[in-house]
Amino acid sequence: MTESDAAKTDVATARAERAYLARSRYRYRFACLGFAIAFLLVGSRLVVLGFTGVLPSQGGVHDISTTVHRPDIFDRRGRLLATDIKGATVYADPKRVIDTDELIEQVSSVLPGVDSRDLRQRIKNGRRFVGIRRELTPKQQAELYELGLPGLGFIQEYRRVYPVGATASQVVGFVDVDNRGLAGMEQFVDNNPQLAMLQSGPGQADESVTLSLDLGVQHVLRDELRGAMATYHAKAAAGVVIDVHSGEVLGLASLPDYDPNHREQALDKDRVNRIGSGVYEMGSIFKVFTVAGALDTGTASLRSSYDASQPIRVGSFTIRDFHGKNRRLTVPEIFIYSSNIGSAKMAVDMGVDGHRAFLKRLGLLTRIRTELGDGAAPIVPKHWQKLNTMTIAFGHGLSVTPLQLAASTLPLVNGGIGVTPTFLPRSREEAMAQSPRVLKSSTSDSMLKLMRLNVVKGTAKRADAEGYRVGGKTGTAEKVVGGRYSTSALLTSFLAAFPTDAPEYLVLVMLDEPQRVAASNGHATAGVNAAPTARKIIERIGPILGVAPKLNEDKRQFDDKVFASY
Amino acid sequence: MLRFVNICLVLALVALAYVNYQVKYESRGIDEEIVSLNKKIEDERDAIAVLRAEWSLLNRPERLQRLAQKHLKLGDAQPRQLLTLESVTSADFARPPLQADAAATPQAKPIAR
Repeated sequence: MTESDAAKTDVATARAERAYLARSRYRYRFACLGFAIAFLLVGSRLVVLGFTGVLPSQGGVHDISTTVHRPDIFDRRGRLLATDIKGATVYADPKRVIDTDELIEQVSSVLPGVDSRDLRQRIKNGRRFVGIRRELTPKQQAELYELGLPGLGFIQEYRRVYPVGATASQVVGFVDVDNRGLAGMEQFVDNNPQLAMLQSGPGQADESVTLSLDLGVQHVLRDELRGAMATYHAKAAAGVVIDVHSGEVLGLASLPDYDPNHREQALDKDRVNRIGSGVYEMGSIFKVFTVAGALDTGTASLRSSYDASQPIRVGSFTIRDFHGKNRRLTVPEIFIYSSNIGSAKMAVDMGVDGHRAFLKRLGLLTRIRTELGDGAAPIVPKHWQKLNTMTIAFGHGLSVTPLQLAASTLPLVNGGIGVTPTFLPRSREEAMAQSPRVLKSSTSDSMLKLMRLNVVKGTAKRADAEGYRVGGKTGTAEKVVGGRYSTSALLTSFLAAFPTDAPEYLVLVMLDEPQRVAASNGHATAGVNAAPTARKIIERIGPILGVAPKLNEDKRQFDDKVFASY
Repeated sequence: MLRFVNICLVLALVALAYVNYQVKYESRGIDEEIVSLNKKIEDERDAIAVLRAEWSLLNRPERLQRLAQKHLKLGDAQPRQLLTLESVTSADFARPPLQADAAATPQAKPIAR
């Protein structure tokens, strides 16, 4: 090797070294950059996580219930009518059951009435969930828990409770085992979910629905109807209280009724809501419509008179008077003596079409619709002839629901406005402004005077609640038994408005087949049973509703005015 | 120089790891507390619902009437016992207060609207 060779090698080595160093620095930087990027990524992710907060924590509050949570229902003064409380359902998980026989034996020792054969069959066939019993009491749940049986489990479910029991059942309704509304307002709330949100306002945790019902009025109504049923040995009784200006139903009772906490009772046919879903020939109460029609259409005035001395014969049919006077009667006399002959003649004067059109205008010929759903359809004669007009004039031949009758009476006593009844709160101004006028206000004034006169002098003397200026009309209808009108099976009713000088509330009472008892002097007409029942109701609800009673002095003044006007 | 920086960074790392752990531990504790508080709120809500139902059950007019008829000597309010606030005059205030024997008859009270 020469020196120059060595030098050449050195130079080559040095060059290689330099190149190596340059390369490694390059690699070093590349690695640094890689790590920096990785750290930045991790760091930024941490920052993001730090700012966006924690992931939703497991095991928090979640709805373990399978039944729906329903809004609470309150009366107009905030008294609770229906609410949800939590109850447990016990179930068996067949995959985890060790000894079926022991489980069944132990469970039936705590829960009497468990069908052990059925349960065994279901555990044998069941997959993961075999429901045993719903709506356990806390005590039963604790006892079952204490058994410590593998394969038993609990779920919390909502259970509907009606603290006031049967008192408001016809309006509030009831729910099925899955907490779905089956009847009454419960069903309405289900079909109109926006209602609970609107009423309770946004942002409120507990949804609620407020009804127009007043629990105090409701209770009095039911209490007095129950008393009347017992006193007059009636088969059934029903009543409704409505605000004449707002159309709000403050009380609605139909006896016999049911306790919504025991929903199986509601299936009994006898416990239907007679006010809304039964149709009846209401009898003489219909004379209010006959007289109002004649006054409103102008075919008669309070001074007109009709000959009621002779019964009317149409073919084989004879129209007679129950409280016959056998003379010419003025319109107020026809009303207060409840003359069938007189009202038939008044209706004929209006003309068959005029009479029918007037009843239609009041809504008596079509189904009435409220929050409780469609009422029963009225039974209207197919071929409406002169005889139909005559009988309908005193309330036979046209069957309507009592709620419909009450609703159609509202314009007669509130100044002529056709307000529809409602079960939700509504202001008087709003209802009056939204509803159409169906009668002249002078007709309404005359009707109030006639109704008051009827209580002071006519068939409804026993309805005069002291101080409350009650006005009303009695109705005694013969029920059709075996295709014929029966003289013993009666349907008596009383329609009242009070106070008649400035009407606020309407009360309708109906008794089904009251008997001739000593308490009603051996009679069974509306004047001796339905009218005093209405008086008792008004005496008790007057103070609740804040109607100021006026004692004798004022009464005499108003009554003088009534007498002077006819 | 470089070594000093490295030592500092390692110390800072340890310190941060400790703080991070601490915060995480605390937050987990708070989380659990939230869960248990929510559970308690739910339980209280349920208890309130039960109590309200019970209050309503005990206050239902049917029961109050039964109890009142059994234990009180009061009757239904008669129209003459009801007055409006406007009809009360200074003469009514000048009257001597009711005596003990009058306690059985309920006093006139104004109607609240």
